[in-house]
Amino acid sequence: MRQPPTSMSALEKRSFRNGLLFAMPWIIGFLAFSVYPLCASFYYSFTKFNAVTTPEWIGLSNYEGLLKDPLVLKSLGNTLFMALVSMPVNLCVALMLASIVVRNFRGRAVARTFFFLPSIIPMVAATMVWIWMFDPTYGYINNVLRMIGIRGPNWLIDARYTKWALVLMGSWTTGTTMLVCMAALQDVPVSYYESAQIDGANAVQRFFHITVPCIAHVLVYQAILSFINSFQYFQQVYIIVTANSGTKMGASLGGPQNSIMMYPLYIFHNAFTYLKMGKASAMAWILFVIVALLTVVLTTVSRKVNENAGVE
Amino acid sequence: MARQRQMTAYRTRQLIFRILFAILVVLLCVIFLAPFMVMITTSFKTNRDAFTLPVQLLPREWVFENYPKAFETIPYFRYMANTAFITFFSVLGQLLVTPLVAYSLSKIRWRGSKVISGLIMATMMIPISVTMVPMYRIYSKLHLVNTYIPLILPAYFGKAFYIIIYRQFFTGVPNSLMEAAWIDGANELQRYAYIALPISKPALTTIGIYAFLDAWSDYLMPLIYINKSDRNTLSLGLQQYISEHTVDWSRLMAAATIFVVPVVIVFVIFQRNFVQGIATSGLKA
Amino acid sequence: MKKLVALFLALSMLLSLTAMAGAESDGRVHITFWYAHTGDEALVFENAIATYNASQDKVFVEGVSTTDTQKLIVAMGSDEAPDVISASNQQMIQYMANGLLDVAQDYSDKDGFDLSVYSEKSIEASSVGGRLVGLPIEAYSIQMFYNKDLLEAAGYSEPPTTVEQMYEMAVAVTKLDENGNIDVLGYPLFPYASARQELIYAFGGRWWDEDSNLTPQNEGVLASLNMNVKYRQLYGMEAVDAFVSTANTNRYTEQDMFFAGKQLFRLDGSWLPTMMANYGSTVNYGITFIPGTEEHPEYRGSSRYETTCICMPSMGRNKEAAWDFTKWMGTEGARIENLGTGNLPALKALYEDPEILAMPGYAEFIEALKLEKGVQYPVMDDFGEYVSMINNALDEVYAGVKTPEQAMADLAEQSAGLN
Repeated sequence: MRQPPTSMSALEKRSFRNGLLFAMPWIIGFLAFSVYPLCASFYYSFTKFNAVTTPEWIGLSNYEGLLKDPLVLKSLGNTLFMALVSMPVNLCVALMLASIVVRNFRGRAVARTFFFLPSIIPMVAATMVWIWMFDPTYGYINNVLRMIGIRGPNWLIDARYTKWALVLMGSWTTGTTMLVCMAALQDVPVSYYESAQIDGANAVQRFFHITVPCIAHVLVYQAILSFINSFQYFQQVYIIVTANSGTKMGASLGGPQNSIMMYPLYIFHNAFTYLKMGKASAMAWILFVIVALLTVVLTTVSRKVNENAGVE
Repeated sequence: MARQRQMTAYRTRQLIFRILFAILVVLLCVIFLAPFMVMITTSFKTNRDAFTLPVQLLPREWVFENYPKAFETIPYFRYMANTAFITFFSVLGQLLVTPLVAYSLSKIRWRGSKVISGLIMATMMIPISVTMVPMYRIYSKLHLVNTYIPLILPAYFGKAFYIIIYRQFFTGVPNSLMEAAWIDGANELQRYAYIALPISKPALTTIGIYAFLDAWSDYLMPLIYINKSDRNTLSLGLQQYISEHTVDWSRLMAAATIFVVPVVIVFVIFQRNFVQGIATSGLKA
Repeated sequence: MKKLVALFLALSMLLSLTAMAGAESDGRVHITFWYAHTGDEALVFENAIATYNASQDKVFVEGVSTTDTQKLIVAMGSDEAPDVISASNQQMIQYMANGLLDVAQDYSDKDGFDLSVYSEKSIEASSVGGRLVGLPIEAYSIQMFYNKDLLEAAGYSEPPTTVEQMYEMAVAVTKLDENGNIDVLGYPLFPYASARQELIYAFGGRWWDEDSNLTPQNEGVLASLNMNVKYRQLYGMEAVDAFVSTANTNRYTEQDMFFAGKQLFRLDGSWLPTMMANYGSTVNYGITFIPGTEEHPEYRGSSRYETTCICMPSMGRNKEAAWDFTKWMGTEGARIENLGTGNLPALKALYEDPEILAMPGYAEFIEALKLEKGVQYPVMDDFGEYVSMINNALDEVYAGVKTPEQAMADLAEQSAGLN
């Protein structure tokens, strides 16, 4: 061990100063962009105000109002649907694509490019194209289905299918997850497969007994990330609904029967359409608590998974 | 003889497998490319053609007028310039700050680094919707609505996801490298600038790419803060196009195409960086 | 990587420089005017603005076309609020409730501007609490457009005067293709907005009464919805939805279902003839009053009565210039606007204007206005939320998830807490 030139406490002090200085930008940002808005939002949730007026204290009325608003629960349900259905679907698609592009074959780079491309194009453009493809009469999806004898649903207007349309759209943009999975697959030692093959394990067994445990930690991490992201789901629905309703307030703000009214979208409308900033803040805080709780649960679970898989 | 038969059986199986695999890959490629094909071919159709049954992928009659019309309706280059401006300064901010903070958390041993790391993780759980209203009020009071400051400023204070990726990278770099320089009497800043930063180029590339993609296609923030048409970003511009109550779909697809093409070009050129950067990012966390 | 960064840096600096340029100042007061018309109609507004600017040496108006009401609301609450906006009277009620608008009558009183140039009905519709909030430039009501050829082919020579006749004709004309898809739609289920309003009003249905009480369980509402559901069930809910969905996708384009001869009845506004002429539609159409019921023929001709007004956001900074432009746009500009878009005037003088009189469909619409059966919006803070609830309830009825009675009972319960 080299001996530090000065006494421990002085070194500690200097390290503390340096560490703090280096982390300072983030600390300032944390106070300004997280702590302050969180506190302010908490305060606002007990007030009534619009963009112009000053907040006026009304106690728990906003929270009471949320209990009476069926759309709050409905939008929360829709958001949870996306989190619980879309996340596993996306993971499966990503894993499937990754196990394809991890193999060595001619055209591998091209395939990888094609699979990844959808993830980088601006969401607005992508959503427009999907709206067009989902058209029940002239859209390509239903026309392809018709060719194989299936009568396709009215994707974006039939409340039973709207969310599935979103799931379908989402599974198209799993490129990033695919790449992460691919890298994880590459890290699985080839010797594991070789010895398994000698033991006579078939492909399916190899997949579930070697591949999955080896990359479990990556999958869990991706799952948590995409789970948290589901609670930010906003853009796609906002664009779809705006495209459908046009100018004259023709349709519901949350799609047919509010079936794709996502929680963040409803917060947005309360804040910026109905100008109920207090109610929006109360909703936002409830969301924050839910996400925080779920994240704690998920991280605990993931730690368990990692321990079982033997990864630290 | 029996062995040979076994070999041929094995070969046949291999061949069948390879054919099935090829079919699967081609099929998936077609599925993943389909929306692009639809977008591009529709942009060369007349609107009447697009609404004629049976639906055909290729235009019955190729027309090119949708493109000049799309450029006419949307001040495309203006929006592109606006988006590039925002993206450039956002990426710059992230590149400046992320390594600093990550370095502090992984390479400086100080009381508090654990706490900060925990807090950084925690901020990832804060939904944008929670901070949206208070932030809007502040910017409005500071007369900063309709400027790019609300969109750019946060980048100069680090984003949790990027910092975590970067810290992960630093953790993997052996401390011996840093200590060698420390003995030469370098101070912390010099060690950071001359050793840590150059070593971490791959991580820098990764977060640069992430920051680029995030800023380039950001939608919610411009939607809230920008409401002057000449300050629109590309995403907003396209959205504005569809919210008009007369939507000419073939022209809309032309507009979408010219929005997508630059991104695709950038991607194809820098594909290697994209792929490697992202592949290494989510791994060890 | 370095090259990438350098290239990107150079490019964005160049681009951002061009983004910075462009602001001009010529000593005139610059004000912004946001209007909600788009496409060809936006050109009409720009034309009017240019006319104003050319006549001015003190004020310069910059026009912005946006249909995004969120953006407008956000902007009005910010320090960069537009100086002048156009808003429907329905929006004005909401904006007033939130203190976002100045009252135009305060300015006209001071200025000695005579408000009696506007029709009484338009003043009534554009007032909140007895004060005129914005200067009405256009009025609109909805009438029934019908495809004459389709109707004649089915053996009818006259358009319907009652909803019962309308239903009968709709069924006679509706055509399915071999796949069970609807090729021609008879019943006027599109556009969404008029299905929610005029198709309800025709049955005497009302979503609110004159004292702004909410009345979703009104008999007429239920009667209308029951006939609606009957038609949907006849052809299959999904087939009808598919047609309406596509109709919505290409609404007001060249391929619009009515312009393409695939819709028998269309409840729509006075702008439709102008649009059809612009797209060169060859459909042989007529315009008539919205029908009443057999039992209550007096319901015939009921329609929403809406105005679009020029108003001044309270956060706007250049009040004097804003009022000057508002006044101009509310009078001379209104004529340019009415002529260009085919919207009905609110200025009394324009009812006699020969050029306005020559607009397609104008005569029929003026006649309908004279019936004085316009339905006005209620004055309530949460009107936007109520409309959203109505839409949701209608979605449930259309999809067959709930019966009209059930859905409306639920709506009554949900809307009980609104102000």
